[in-house]
Amino acid sequence: MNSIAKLLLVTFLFVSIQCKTDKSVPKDDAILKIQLKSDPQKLHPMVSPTSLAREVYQYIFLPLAEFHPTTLELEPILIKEVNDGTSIEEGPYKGGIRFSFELREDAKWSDGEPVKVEDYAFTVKAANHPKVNAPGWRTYLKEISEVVQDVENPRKFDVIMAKDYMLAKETAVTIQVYPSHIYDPKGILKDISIEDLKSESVYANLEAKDSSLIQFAQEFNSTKFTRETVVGCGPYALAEWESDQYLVLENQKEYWGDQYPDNPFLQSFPRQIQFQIIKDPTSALTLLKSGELDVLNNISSINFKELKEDIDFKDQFEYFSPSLIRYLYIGLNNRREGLSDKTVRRALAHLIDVDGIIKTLEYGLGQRTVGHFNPNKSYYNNSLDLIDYNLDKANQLLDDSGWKDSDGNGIRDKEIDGKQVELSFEILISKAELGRKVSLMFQESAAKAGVKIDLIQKQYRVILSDHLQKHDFDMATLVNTADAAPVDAFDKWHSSNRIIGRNNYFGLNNLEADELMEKIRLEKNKESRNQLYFKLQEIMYEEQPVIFLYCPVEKIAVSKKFKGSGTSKRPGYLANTFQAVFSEAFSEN
Amino acid sequence: MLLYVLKRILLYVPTILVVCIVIFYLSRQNSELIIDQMLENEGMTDQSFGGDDYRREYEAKVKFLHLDYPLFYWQIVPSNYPRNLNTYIWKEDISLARQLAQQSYDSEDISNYMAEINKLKKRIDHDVLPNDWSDLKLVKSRINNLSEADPLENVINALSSNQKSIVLPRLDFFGTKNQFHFWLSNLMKGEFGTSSLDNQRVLLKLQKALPWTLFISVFALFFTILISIPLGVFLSTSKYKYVDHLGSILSYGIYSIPTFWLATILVVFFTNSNYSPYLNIFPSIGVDIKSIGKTNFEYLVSNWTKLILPIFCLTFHSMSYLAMQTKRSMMNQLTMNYIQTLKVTGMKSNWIHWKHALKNAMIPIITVIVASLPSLIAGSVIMEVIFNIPGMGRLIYDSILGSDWNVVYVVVLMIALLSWLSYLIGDILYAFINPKIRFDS
Repeated sequence: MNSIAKLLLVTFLFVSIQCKTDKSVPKDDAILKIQLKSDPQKLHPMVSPTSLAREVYQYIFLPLAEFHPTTLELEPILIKEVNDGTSIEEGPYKGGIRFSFELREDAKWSDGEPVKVEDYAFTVKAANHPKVNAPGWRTYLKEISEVVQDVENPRKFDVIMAKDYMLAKETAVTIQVYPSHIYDPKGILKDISIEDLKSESVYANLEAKDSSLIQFAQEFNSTKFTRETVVGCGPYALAEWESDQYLVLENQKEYWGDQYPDNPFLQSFPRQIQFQIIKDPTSALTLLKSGELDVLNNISSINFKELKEDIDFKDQFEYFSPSLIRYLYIGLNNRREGLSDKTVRRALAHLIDVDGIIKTLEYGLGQRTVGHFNPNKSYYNNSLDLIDYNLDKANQLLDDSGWKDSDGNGIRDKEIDGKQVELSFEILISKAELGRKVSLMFQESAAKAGVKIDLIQKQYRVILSDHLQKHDFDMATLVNTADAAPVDAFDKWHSSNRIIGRNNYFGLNNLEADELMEKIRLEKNKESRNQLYFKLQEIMYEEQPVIFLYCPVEKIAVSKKFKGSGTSKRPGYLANTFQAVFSEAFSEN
Repeated sequence: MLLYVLKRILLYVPTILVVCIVIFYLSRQNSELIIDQMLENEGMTDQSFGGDDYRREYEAKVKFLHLDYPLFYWQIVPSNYPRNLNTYIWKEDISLARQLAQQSYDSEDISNYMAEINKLKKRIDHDVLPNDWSDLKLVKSRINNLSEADPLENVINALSSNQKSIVLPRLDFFGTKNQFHFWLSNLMKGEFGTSSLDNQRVLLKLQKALPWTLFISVFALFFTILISIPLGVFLSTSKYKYVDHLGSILSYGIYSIPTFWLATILVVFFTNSNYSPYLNIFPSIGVDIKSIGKTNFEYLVSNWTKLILPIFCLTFHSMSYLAMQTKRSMMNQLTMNYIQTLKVTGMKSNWIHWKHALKNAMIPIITVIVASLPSLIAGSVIMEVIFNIPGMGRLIYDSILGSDWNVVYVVVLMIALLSWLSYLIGDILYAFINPKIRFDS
């Protein structure tokens, strides 16, 4: 027995020594280590434009232009400048718009080949190829009809769009461009027009004649291009990828973008960006504290607060909490009895203690909003007052609209078409903890005003497909996420989209709002458009089709070994702009 | 013995076939969700895009995945049912066809009715059309004043007049052009399909994940057996009652510690110096970055220190259970007459315990060990998630979260096969230890 105990002791000591040896490996501070919540699966913006994959591929692939992280205005990247385009008054594309761009002379792919107009044209064609797994891009780019290269200057080109609308420019410039010589080396799509690919019958004929079209799509969708060959013109290139473990990006030596030091998308400060895939938030936080991670975002509010206040860690990290272009709200089915009355909807809005929610559930990390626009946008209407939590006012409004507790059961009721109807609703919640807590707080305060609310928990996908899309719901706690582009409210709020199969699930039906949304879509002048946005917000405020709660903030901790800043754009930072502090000091010396 | 093993194997073949059918059937139950998930991953969501574009892309995916074929070789349905509901492709059309068939309308009339609805939808603003097309009375009242809807009205009249009062069952044969046949053929060829998340072959994903789990599970099982069986024997034969009581209390206590809690505590306290520099014994979670040129085996071995804590957690947990099982089984044996006889012969007690009693006490112990074999493959989901180990457990976890059912069902099938194999091994071991146990006896 003694010998076994000795053996175990020796083994333990050996193991401990082995483990400790690992810790002594010196660290290179020019390597930025970031947590990724999950494996991005595919690094192929067209085939997999998920927000998770974007966190990685945004450093490899570049678009013609992108929204600047601080100004949120379009910043040219591969082109010299972004313009507003010219309306097409005649010809086959009458009613459309033409954008003229010029590629930068020095823009190059990571293999040294120059970025050409053919590459942009190829990208649009590939997205329109019906067998390429790019339904999102195909829908997004459906208005691009032609890409025409200038005869005299091969870097100049026109993008012709069949329809002129407010997001035409953003559509044309914000897609990531692919190198055609890598992704289509045989030039299969070169002589096929975009319109031919869009037309089902023409494409079917082409495919029948030429099987290489199918082969192209199969290869383009395959792991060859989603994982093995990932080539772009961004500041970083994929160096290593171990599934579900890590991805390593290395900055490009003698990068063409170094000529543009002020352009944040072309910077490449860390020599290497390592994305470590860690799913468990507790483990990720432990790694951040032990210095194994340099950047951690999406920290829970409580952990973020504790980390900031912790004596051991508060000075080790920079903390960023940029407001996200996202808002939480309670969707109301305006078609339902009771909810069809805007006075009732306003009364319900007075029954939610939004400030209390931000204080207790988000530890103060949230920004209230009166409507569906982010409060930091220039077109947010600051003249509208935030709706306060006011039980008396809610009671008054409900009384005014005829809802009274006639039978003394604690629930308000009203006679409608000869029937006594109670003011009782079901609120749909997903498995998200925040939505459940918000709904519980709402339920409690609504009960005080005689409104009965029952919580029904379902999967978000089921809520969407079986309830929202079929208009079979009373209320639902929801989140809306947008990008930095100007908001086009048409799909979600225009009355023509109230029918099943379209996106106005809540059933807002206001002709004045419709008219404004239609005008906004066509208005190119920013100032004039802002005025229309202000007016639209006033109507929405008056109508209260849903209860807007607040915009959450991102919670990011960055090691003080690096200097950087946060942004409203997801994931809340640009890793390529993070400068290692030691290298800065080194260069100063 | 060989005949016995062969009989056991043959007995399991129908079971495996049933398992295959059940797994296939389950995989088809959420094909709508799979397509929705695929489209969402490819940038298409119901919420962000209009219905028509979504429907076009959805239908293309159904055809690509052969989901428009019949489900099985045959079906028994009411005689008015459409022969193949899947030809309708669009999820709402399938649901409508099913609802109409349940109302005993004729399949041909249903087909005409649905064709007319689609024509009408293209001619008229959707706003005036009904939302529920299965309620013919409602549809009739809504289209009453629409001249464009005359053909639809005729079809509705035909539907109503041909409505069956008695519906008999009907047997349909589809031959080999059915979804199950395609699925099983691919499985037989070793083509387990590709992941819907990253297009990687499922087999490749399994090959990458399996060594990690095997490494952890085999070592955990080895240490569990190594520690718990001697411990169980020791507790059962201890002369001192308090040793037995103390051992039992400790074992139950250890067994009742949730593994996720234990794992989290170990990570929090022993992988960093937040609480004390002396507690920072083990390396941080996750595995190191694989160096270029390293083989998978070298990579696995180079990370062995990272696997100590997960192995410890698994061993710690199952050790107490197996020790208690061993103790209980041994105590039963020690009361048997043959033990008393052996004692009378003057045989050394150690020899009696280890050679004779333990051998006979092994039957329930083998059951416990054999039952744990499938987890060798399934891995411990919680362990691998907390310790960030890229094994089978995490693969299942990620695949379920990402609705990557192609991977999930293959893993489930593997676990079913391994369960079968482990019970077979168990049966052979029983027969080996106790020759009286025979299938044919």
